[in-house]
Amino acid sequence: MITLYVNDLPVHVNKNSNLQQVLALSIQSLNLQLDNIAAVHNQHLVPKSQWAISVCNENDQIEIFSAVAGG
Amino acid sequence: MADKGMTETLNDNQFMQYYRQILLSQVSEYGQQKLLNQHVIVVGVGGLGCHVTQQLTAAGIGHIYLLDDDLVELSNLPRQILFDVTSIGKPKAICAAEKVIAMNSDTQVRYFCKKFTYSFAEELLHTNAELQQAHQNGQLILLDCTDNMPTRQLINAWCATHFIPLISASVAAFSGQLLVIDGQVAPQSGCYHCLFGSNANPQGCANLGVLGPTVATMASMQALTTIKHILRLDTELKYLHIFDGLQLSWRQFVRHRDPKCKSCGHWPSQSENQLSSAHQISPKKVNL
Ligand SMILES: [Zn+2]
Repeated sequence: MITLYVNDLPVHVNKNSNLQQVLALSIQSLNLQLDNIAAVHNQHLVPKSQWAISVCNENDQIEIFSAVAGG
Repeated sequence: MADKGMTETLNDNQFMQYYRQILLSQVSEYGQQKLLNQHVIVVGVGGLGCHVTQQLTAAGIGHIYLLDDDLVELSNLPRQILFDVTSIGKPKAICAAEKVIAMNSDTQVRYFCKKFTYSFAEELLHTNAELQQAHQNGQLILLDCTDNMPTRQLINAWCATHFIPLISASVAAFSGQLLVIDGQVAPQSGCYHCLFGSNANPQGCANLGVLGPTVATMASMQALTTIKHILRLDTELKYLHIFDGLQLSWRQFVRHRDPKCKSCGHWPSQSENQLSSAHQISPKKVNL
């Protein structure tokens, strides 16, 4: 297991987990849906098509947030 | 190249009017001329659109195109500052145009009480010779001030197709997001669709509520970003900027292009110019 941080909170996941897996695990507690979010991996936004191939490491910082569309 | 389509030199009155802007070495008389020759399409004349149009008109942007099919409602007044009680029930695009036309005779304001659709945007670009010329000269920018995701995606796709720089701001509750999308200058940073997919269905101000000053903050940043982009002063094209109105804090994250994006797939892989060198505004001294 490794520890990483999702929106500043520690999360324990299997070694070699990818971003897609971490996000799927994290969104329920954040009350968000995968379609609505953008994901930041160590300060870099990762496009959705790359989530499954972005490998997570110990102490990685992940941010999840929703689109804001109002004007 | 820098002088293409630059038709105006400043008269004495303009020199006085824009003196505090011209005083900035990054703007100078040349930069003010660029602003006066610039064409800006503002899509959505709500909270963001009102503020941004007011600021850009005051700054001396030469040509503004307002696009909105909505009518003014009472609940708009706390943040849509170009409207008052006499505007209620009237088209937003017309009311906003009337207000800003009176502000600055240097700004030519055109308005369209239309919803943004791909076909209307095509018609606008291809039937307006001046706009088409501005586009060819690299003097056209579009500002997304709309309030819903489908329109934001549509605007993004249209701008991406035509390589029109898009400055996107959004706001809801106490959150704001701002980004510059430019397929020529920063293709590697991708477009709006690279960031948020078409299936995203975020809530807007109508559901979440919003305060006028939060909207004004985002609109001011959008206006500042627009002026900086016109003057090639921007260095932050790769970022998504996120504002938190409760903490009064900004965060920025590096954007990346989605190699599978359907909106910007035709863009080159690298920038045609290095922003830091080729896009520096040519230095011209102000004669005081
Ligand atoms: Zn894209």
